[in-house]
Amino acid sequence: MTRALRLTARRAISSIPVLLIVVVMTFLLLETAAGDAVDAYLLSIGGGDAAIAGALRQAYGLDQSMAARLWLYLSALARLDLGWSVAFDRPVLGLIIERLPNTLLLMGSATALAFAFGSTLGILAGARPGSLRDRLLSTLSLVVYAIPGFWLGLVLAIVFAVQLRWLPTSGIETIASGRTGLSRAADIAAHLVLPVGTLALIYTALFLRVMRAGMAGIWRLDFVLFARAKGLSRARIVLRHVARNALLPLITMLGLQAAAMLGGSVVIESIFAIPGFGRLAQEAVSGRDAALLCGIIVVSAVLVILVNLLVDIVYAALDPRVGTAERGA
Amino acid sequence: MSLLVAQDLGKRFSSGGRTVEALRDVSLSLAAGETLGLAGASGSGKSTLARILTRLVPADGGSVRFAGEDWLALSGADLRRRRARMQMVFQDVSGAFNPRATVADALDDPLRIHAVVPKGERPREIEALLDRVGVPAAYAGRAVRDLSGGQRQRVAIARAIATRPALIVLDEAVSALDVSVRERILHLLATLQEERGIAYLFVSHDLAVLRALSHRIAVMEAGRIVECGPAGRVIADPQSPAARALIRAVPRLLPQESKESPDGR
Amino acid sequence: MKLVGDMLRRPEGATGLAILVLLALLALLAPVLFPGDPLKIAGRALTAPFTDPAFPLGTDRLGRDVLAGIVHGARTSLFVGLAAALAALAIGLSVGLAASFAGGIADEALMRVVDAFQIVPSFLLALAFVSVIGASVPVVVLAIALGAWADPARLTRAEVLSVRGRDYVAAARIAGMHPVEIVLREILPNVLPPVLALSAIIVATAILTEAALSFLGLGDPNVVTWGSMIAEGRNVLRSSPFLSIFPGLALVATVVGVYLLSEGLTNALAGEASVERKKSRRAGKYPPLPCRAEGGAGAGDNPPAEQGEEGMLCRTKNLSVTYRGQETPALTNLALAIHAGERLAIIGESGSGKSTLARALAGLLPEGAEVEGTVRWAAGAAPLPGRDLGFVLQDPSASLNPVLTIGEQVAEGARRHLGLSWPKARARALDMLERVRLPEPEKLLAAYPHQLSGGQRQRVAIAAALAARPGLVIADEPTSALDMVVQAEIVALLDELVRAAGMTLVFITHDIALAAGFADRVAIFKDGALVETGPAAAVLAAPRETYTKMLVASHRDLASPPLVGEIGA
Repeated sequence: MTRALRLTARRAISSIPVLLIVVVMTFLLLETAAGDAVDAYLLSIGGGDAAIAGALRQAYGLDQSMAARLWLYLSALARLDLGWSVAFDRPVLGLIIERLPNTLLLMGSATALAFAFGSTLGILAGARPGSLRDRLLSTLSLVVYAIPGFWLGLVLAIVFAVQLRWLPTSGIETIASGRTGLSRAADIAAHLVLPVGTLALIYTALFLRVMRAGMAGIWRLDFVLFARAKGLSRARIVLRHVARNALLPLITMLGLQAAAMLGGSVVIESIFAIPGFGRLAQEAVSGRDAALLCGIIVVSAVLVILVNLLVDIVYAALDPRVGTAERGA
Repeated sequence: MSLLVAQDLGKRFSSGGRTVEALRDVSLSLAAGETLGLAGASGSGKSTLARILTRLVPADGGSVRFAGEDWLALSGADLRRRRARMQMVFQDVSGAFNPRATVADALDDPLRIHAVVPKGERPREIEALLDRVGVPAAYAGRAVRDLSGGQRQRVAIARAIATRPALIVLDEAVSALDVSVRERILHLLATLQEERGIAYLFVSHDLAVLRALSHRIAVMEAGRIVECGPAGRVIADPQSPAARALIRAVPRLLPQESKESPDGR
Repeated sequence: MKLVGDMLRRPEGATGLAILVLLALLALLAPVLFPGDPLKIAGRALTAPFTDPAFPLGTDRLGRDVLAGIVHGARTSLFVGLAAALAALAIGLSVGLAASFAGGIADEALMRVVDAFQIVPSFLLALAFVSVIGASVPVVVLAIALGAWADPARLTRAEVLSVRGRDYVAAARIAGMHPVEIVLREILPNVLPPVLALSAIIVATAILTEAALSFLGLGDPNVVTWGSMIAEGRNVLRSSPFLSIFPGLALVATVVGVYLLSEGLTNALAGEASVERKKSRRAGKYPPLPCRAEGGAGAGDNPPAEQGEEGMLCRTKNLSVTYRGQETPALTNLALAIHAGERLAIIGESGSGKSTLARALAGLLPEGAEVEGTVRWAAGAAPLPGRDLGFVLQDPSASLNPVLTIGEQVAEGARRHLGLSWPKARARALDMLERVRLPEPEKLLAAYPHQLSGGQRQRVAIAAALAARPGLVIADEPTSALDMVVQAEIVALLDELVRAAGMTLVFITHDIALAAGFADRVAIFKDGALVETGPAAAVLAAPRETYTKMLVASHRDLASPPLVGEIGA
């Protein structure tokens, strides 16, 4: 495991400059936004004259050069100060931390489900490339993957919440129900079925396709022929030799998709009114809250980096070649 | 009066934190019209040496004089112009041509770049080159990748002789070919050398094949030349363990009286 | 372009293009089909679909024609999708090219910027960009492109680095070609196709992103878009769900069209590559279905060897094999006998059918290969691969599974065929690794293939092939991928193992002398047919057939006369 740890440490260090670039990007975005933090603050306290604004700017160093302001921004970030949210009138970081668990719950369960179903169906399709089962699954997954998440969410809501009334349409739990313990967990689970199902359905299609494509490529390799020449059982060839290797690109895909999933949380959470990270982004947009929006971007970049570190560790555990010359990581 | 003199060539590669010394203090010389065979097991550094001499890979140290010039000091347009004098034929017959190229494209490039013949005469020159290497002129319009391995290697040789070079580096140029094709290509190379006085640096892991064309043979091991001498002498009386191992490894067609155990372990 | 033709010949490519062409036509003809502003009120509000011929898909809350909206919305979707993808491609290609050619620190710096854009969720970036600058079609295009250029940049760089290492680029440098010309003529044309296949995916992502943005109210308010129509319908979701459903269907159809097109393009590219591979190595595809080589006759129809065939292991009669999609058979009317306990060398050049014979005997022909004639086995039934027959492949670095331990790969055959438990099978594997004389076999059990040299890997493969004590070994060019010193060691090892266990060996090779070293009998193949067979010494000393004579004459060893004279050194 030292090999994986060393690798992870190296990756973690190399993501520092990347994060810095992200921060500079968000800073530029903030600079582009009309008005600065002082305007926003004055707006929130119901206005103030130019003299107060000037004094405030001087106090916060906002009248200095752009480079100096960037330095201020960076040093604030280093103190974990992501700025002040105008729309909510409280610190950005606290808001994000409050909303994050809902999103992580949503994303985590959707990913876990999609991974389980996607890889299983992918193995079923990839076990016999070109078979009827493969063509059906491949075509179906192509169509499902083409469906925009927000629309799928709406359609599922129409069917299961509006028409059939099986499930709640919105929120993360029944408000002011006073439930606790298991009853509360069940309530949350019921609320999560539709959003998690929507996301999981789309990502199942994606994972299925990646797994299937990986397996189709691996069937052509010599070691599979060799496995057949050893007279191994079909199940062992499919699972241990073909699927085992096709798992590697799927793991890579998990890391690559982390950013897309966080982005996708915006529409899903806004449809199902889940008070999460993505909905916060939408609220920041409608509240014209640039500081909050930039804070969200920085935090999401950190999240994606963390997910990728995790993915790297898993990958290194699954592929003995990692960290050697055979696969430059 | 050597055509090429290389001195103390060195090359290191680093991958994954480890440094591999691919070449160490390699010196060799080659006279005009001569073939120097370069033998060695895989990883001995012979292909690296070939790529340094052809200026595909920079050397870390050492010097090369070629045709009276400091060959490693040349750069830019000077180097491109002088490249006409030193050509190369690769091992992988499918990888050595642009997947989109026709036979005529492949031969036209060197003729055009070095203005070997006037523009109007290029088609005729291409025909002559193809004729010289034994490829029907009608193949000029075909995609190189539609040709057989042997024919592709003939086109590669035609491309190499197009600029009328003094030296051709043959990097495992016949290793991927069938024996019958290989034999004909070896004959073609021998005849071309006789006709045009071209020198060859012939890189191969197969001593029997090297012996066919080489006047002298140099044996490499772990980035060094461990032995160098007239071909007959090196084969009859090898001095280094590397050379002896290579000789022992050559399969003999008919069981020989003094058959040693091939067990090299 | 040939690629486009290839793509259109595939059903997915043709379907995808048909969908997109139809949509593009609708989009172009929108002002003619539905003149006027689609955002204007056209009729009664909330007309149900399929009730009013004037509004086939009904009207929305404000009485706007849904069908007109969808057709006009196609303009926005397609335009934004294409424009954003083009912009992303332009940025990505430039950055990728710049990084790969600049190298060093510039490359490093550019790639960190690419990393940064890849870890920021592109939808959040687009959201922020549009909300800060203000929603209009050009801003939306730019915002989407900003989140999409990193993938093509990374791919372009990787492709350039890979293409630049190819021999044909080296050949162009050797020819003295100017660097700019090398880039334009040798590198770019070979880099673009995979980047184009990726750009189809970018178009799809851009269309979906645009829809999501307008759904959230961040689209250009002055044009009708599918996303804003879905959002508009959401207000009356309970009573008129069709308002959201129809534009969504249009969206799905468009994206399916793009994906199909991209799949066609990717498959056409892969097809092109596989044709190349087939030509250079004749590497077939090995799909999962093992198929036996008995031809029409099942195992039950194969009686044991007839009288006068004592010691016969197997005899083929009129055996022909034709691969799927090929016209000429790879093997024609073969009649060949294999004797129990002999060492038979099958000798031939490329295209001789020697490997096809090996696969046919082992029951390992690819799916769809057509087999005629019979193979009779003395035992009655065809040998079971692994148990009765060990198979060794050419390239040891490809024939071992890279992610499984050596121990597992040697033990798995023994476990299956000898009925051993895993610990016992591992003990058997240890024994086999010792027998193929690998150093430190205990350690090797837990090692992975990449930790071994080529010669060691082939020893592992031999150990794995022989682990279940088969009586017959088929080795298909087991030394061609190794260098000569290692080749001699591997041949000696195989010879020794086969002798010690009294196994039958079928050794496939292109090297007549390698075969001569240890085979009892040789069989010479050419163009799918048997040319000559007989005792090794006799055939090689006095070949009867012209082709064999030519092969013997072409052989070179150290005693062969050189083609050049001595030069006074």
